[in-house]
Amino acid sequence: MRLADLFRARDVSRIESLRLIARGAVEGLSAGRHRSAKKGSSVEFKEHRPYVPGDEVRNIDWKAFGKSDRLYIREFEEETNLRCMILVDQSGSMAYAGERALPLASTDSKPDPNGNRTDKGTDKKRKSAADGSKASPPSWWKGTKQEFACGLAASLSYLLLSNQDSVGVMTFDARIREYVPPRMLPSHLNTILGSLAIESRGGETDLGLVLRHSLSKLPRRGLVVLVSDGLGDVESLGRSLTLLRAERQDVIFLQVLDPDELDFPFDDRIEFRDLESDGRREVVDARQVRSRYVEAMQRHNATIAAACRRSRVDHLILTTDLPLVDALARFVAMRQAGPVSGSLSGSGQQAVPPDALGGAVKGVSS
Amino acid sequence: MTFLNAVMALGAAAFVVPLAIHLLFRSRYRSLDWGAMFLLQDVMRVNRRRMQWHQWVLLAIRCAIPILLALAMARPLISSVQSVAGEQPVSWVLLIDDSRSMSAGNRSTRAIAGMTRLLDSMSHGDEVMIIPSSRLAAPVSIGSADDARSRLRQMRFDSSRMNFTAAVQSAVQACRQASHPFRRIVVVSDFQENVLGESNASRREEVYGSGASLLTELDSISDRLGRIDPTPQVDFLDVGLSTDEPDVETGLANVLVKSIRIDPPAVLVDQTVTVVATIQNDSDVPVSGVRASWLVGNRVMETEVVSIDPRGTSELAWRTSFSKPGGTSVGLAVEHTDALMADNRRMRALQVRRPVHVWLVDGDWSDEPLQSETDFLKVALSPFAFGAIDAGERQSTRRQRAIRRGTPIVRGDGRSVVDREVSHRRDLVAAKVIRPGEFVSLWQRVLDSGRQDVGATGQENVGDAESNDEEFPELIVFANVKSPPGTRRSESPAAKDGSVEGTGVLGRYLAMGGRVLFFDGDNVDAEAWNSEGFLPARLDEVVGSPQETKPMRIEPPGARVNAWRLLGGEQDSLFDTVRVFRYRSIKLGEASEASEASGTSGTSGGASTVMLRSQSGQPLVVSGWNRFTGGTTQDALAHGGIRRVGVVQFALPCDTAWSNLPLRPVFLPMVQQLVLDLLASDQQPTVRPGTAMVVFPDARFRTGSGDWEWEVSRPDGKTQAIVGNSSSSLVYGDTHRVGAYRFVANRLDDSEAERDRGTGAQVRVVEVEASESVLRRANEDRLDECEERLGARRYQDAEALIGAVRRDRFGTEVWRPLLWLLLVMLAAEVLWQQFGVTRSVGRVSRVGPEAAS
Repeated sequence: MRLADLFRARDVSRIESLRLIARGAVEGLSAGRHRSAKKGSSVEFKEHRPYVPGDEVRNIDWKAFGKSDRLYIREFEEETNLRCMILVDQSGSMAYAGERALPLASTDSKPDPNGNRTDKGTDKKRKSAADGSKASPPSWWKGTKQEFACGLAASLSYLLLSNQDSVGVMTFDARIREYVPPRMLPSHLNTILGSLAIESRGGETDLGLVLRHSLSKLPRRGLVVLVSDGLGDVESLGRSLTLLRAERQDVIFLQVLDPDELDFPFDDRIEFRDLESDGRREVVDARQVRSRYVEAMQRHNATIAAACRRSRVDHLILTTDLPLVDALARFVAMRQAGPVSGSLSGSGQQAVPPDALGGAVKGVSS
Repeated sequence: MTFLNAVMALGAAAFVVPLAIHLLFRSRYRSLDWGAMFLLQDVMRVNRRRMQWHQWVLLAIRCAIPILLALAMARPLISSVQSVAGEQPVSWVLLIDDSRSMSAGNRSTRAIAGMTRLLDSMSHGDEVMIIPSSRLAAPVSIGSADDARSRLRQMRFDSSRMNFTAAVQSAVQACRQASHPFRRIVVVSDFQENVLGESNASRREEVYGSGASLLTELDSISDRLGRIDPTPQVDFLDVGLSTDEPDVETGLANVLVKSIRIDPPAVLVDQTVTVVATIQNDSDVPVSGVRASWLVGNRVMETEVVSIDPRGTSELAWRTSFSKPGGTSVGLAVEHTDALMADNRRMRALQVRRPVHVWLVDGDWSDEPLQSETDFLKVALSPFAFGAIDAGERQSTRRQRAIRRGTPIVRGDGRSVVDREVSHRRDLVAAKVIRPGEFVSLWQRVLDSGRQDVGATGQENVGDAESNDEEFPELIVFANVKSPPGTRRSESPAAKDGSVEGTGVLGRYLAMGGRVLFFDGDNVDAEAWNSEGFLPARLDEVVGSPQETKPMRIEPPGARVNAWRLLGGEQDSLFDTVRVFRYRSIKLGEASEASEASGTSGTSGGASTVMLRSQSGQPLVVSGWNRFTGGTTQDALAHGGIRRVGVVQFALPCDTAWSNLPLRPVFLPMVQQLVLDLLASDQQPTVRPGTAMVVFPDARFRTGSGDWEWEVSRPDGKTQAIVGNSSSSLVYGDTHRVGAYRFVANRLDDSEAERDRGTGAQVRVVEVEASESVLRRANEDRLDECEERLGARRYQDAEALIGAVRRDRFGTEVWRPLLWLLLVMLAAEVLWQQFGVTRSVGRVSRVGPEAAS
C-alpha cells in the first residue's frame, strides 16, 4: 500500500498542512512543538527562582539582580516532539461495507456555504463521488470500515511525521496483530502503511482487553489514537480508557461506523450473518426491528460517549460516507478549539449534536 | 344462513392468495454480513414474540379481506329472524287513519305513498284489507294489492278523530276473516294527541268497567291477538313525524273556526238571532288582518277582518234573521293559509220555524182570570202575546195589527222602518186552550184533515189559534186532567215500560213525533194515567197539604239539566224562593232508579231522567223519551246519541194550588227553556263524519198516510232519492263527506204543485270536531306504552317498514355490514402495517439519514 493509492496529491498536501497538538504535556526525544513535561531551553519563559549553589551562572537574570540585588535563575518551557501510537481495530465487524461509503480519495464534493455537501443520495453518492475524483477507486477498495480506519491511520501518521513527531501503529482484532513502534523518520511511513496493509483474519474482539494488553507497549505520556467501531463490551472499553488516562496518555477515540449501522435502512426480510462469528445469523423483517435496533444503537453510542466523557477522552464518531480528509481537517480544527465530543457524518461534515447519534454524548472534557 | 349469489361465496377461497404470498416471502430473503450483530440479537430476543404476533395478525387481516369480499358479494341472508315463511302468502290489514289531521302538511301524501310502496312490495298471493278509521262499521272487503291501490287513490282525509282502540279491534276482527294463516296489521296514522287520549272514557267504562283505561283496553285487544294462531304482527307507520314539520312538540301552526253557536237556539222566521263563531289561533305567532266571511248556505253574507293573538281565540258575532221557514246552514270561513285548510270553515245547521202550536188541555177550566189551571202556563208560554194584549189598550189598532203581522210601519216623516223591537218579541209558542172533552174531536179533525196546509202564510203570534184548529200540535200539555182523553187501556208489556206502542190516541200522537207535557193536580186519576203507561214515572199518593207549615224547597238543577243550567247553581238559584206545599209522589222505573243511584241521571240509558227534585231527593220533574222501533233507528240513536224527549212529567200542577212556582220569576224561563229543549231534541245541528243522521218528516206527513220520498242533496253535489213510509223517520248513514246535507220530503202521490207547498228542506251539517285541528302529537311515552302492549313496532317511513317485512319474510340480508367490515379490514391492514409494525419509523428516519445529512 502506498499513500498515493489512498489519497490524491492535493489531499496529501492538505494533510501536510494540518497540525495535531497534544493536549497535555508529553515526553519526547527531540525538540518539537509540543509542550514537554520537562523544563529546558527554549524561547518560552516560564518563571524565576532563587539561585542555589550549583546553578549555571549563565542562567542568572542579571537584570533582576541589578534591580533587586538578589540572584534569580530564569527558567524556560522545554518543547519536545510528540510520540503517538495509533491503535487500529481490524476485527470482523470492521469488515462491513455499506453502499453509502465513499472512496478515500474523493474530496471533490465540497461543502456549500451552509456546510452542506452538494451531492446527495446514498447509492448514487458513491458513484458520483468516484466520478468526481476523475479516477476509479482502487481495485481493492470495498468501502469497509476497516479501509476507512486504515486510511484514517495513514493520514494521521503522515500528518504527524510531517510535523516531526514520532508515530507508531498497532493493529489488533482479538489480540494484537501488528506493532510498529513510534519513529519520527519520514521513511517510517512506509513501515506503517505496510503494517496497515496486512490483511486481518477478523474474528471477535474485546476492545477493552486489547487496550489493556497494549499498555506495556505504549510510550509514556504520549498520544494514543484509537480507531475502532466500538462494537463490543462498552464497560470493558470504559475501564481500559480509564487505565490509559491513568498512564497520563492523551487519548483520542475515533469511532468509525457505517451509516447503515446508524439508521438501518433495510426494508425486506434479510438474513443477517455475524461478521465476527460464522455460526450466528438472524433472519428478520428489517422494517419490524428497525426502530428498536436504532434505539439500541443510540443507547450503545451514548454509553461509549459517557465513558469517554468520564475519562476525559476525545470521542468522535465518523461515518464512512464522509470524505476522510475533510473529516480529519475538521477533527484537527475541533481539537485545536478544545475538547472534542460528537460526531461527523455524511454529506454535511457537521459536528451534529451527540444526542442525534450517540445519545448523551455532549459537552467537552478537559 | 343462505346466499342469494351462492357462487360468489366460492371466492372466499381466495384467502389462500395472501397466505401463499406470506409463506413465499417468508422463505425468500437476502443475506447480509453484519457487524453490529449483538445489538440486533438483543432486539430480536426481546421482541421476537411480539413481532410474530404482529405478523400473524397481519396475515389474518390479509386473509379476511378476500373472504369478506366474497361473502359480501354472495349476499348472505340470516334466516334466524324469519317469522314468516318467505313463500307463504300473507293477509294484510291496512288500518288507515283518515282523520282530518292527516291532511295537515304532507302526512296524507306520505301515508298514501308509503302504502303504495308497501303494496308494491307484496307478493302475488297476498291479500289486502283496507280499513279507513272512519268506516270501522263497514264490511271489510278482501282484495288484491291492485284493488287496494285503487281504493287508496280514492281515500279522503277529512273525518273525525280515529278511535284507536276501536280501530285496532276492527283490524283484529278483520284478521279473523283472512284467508291466509299469516296476517299482518299495519296502522297508518299521525298519532295525534287525541288519538291516544281518554276522550271516550265513558264508553270504555261501559264496556270494560269502572277505572278502565286505554291501556286496559289494549291489553284486552292484545289477548285477542294472542288467541289467533299464528299471532298477527302489528306495525305502526307513523307519518306524523316529518322533517317538513318544523316543530313537532308544539304542533303545526293552524287557524281554525272552533265553534259556531246560535243565540237563541230556536230560530223563528224573521226573528233576529246572533250567530257567534269562535276562531282559534293554534300557533305561536299572531294572526292579523284575516278576512272572515259569514256564510248562509254557500253564500257570503258579510265579511269582516279579525286579528288573533298567539294561542288565543277570538269571538265574532253576527246578527241576522231568516225570512223563510225551513232548514239552512250558517257558518264562518276564514281566509288564511296554514297547515290545515279544511278547518278554516265551519258550518252549523239550523231550522227556521214558524211558531210552535201547543194545545193546553185544561182539566180545571174557569172563565175567571188566572183561575183556570193553564192560565199561568199560557202566560209563560206566550209572554209577548200577553204583553201585547195588555198594551193593546194603549196602542192603535193599526199598530196592533202591524205588531201581530210584523209588517213595516211608515212614519209621518217618510222614514220606512220596521218596528224591530216588536218583531223581535214574537213568541215561540202559539198556545190553544182546550177542554178535555174537546180533545178527541179536535184530534180527530187533525187526523181527518190528512195533510195540513202548513205552507200557508206564517201564523201570527196572537196567543190563540182559532183559525188553525186543524194544525198538528207539536206539544200537548195536560194540566190537571183526570185521565188520558180518548184513550183505551192497554195491558201490553210494552206499555208498562213507557213504550207508546198501542196506547191509543196519545200513543199514536207520540209516535208521530209529538211531545207531551204533563202537570199534576187534584183532579188527576193516578190509576188511569198509570194504566196508560206512557208517563215516565208512575203516579203515587199526593203528599202534604196546602197548610203545610214546612214547605219543601227545590234543589237547583245546575248543570245536571242542560236546559235549565242558566237558572242558577248551588249559590244563586232562582228556585230558592219556590215553596212546595204538596206534591205527588212518583216512582221511577228500575232502569231509571239505577241510573239515579249512580248519579248519572242526566245521561243514563234508562227510560226516564229526573230533571228537578226536592232538596229531600223527591223527584218533581221527570222526562222520558220515545223508543223507536226498528233496528236502523236504534243504530242511529246509538251512533248519534239522539234522545228525542217525548214526555215531561211534573209532580206539581201548573197553578198555585200546591206551590208558588207559577208566581216565581223562575217559572217563565223554566217553561220557555223546557219547550225549546223539547222542540230541539230531534235536531242535530252538526254530526260527525260517518255518524248517521236522523231526519223526521214534517207535520204534514205525520198525519197522512202512504209512501213518500226523501230527496237528499249531498255536499259533493250528488242527489239521492230515498223512499220511506209514513210513520218512521229517515236514518241517513252515508255521511262521510264534510258539508251540508239537504233533505226534502215529498209524498209520492203529490202533484208538483203540492210538493212546492212543502215547508222546505231540513239541513244537517257534517263537521269534524275542533279537537282534530289541534295538531299536537301524542306523548311519546304513551305511544311507546301502546306499542309495548300490542307488541307492535313503529316505523317513521315506509322503507323501514318494508325492510322489516322483508326481514320477517325472507331473513336479514347482511351484505352491507360485511362491506363495512371489509373496508375496516382494508384500513386496518394499512394502519397495522404503517403504525403497528413500524410505528417508530418516522422517528428513526429523522434520527438516521436526516441526522446524518
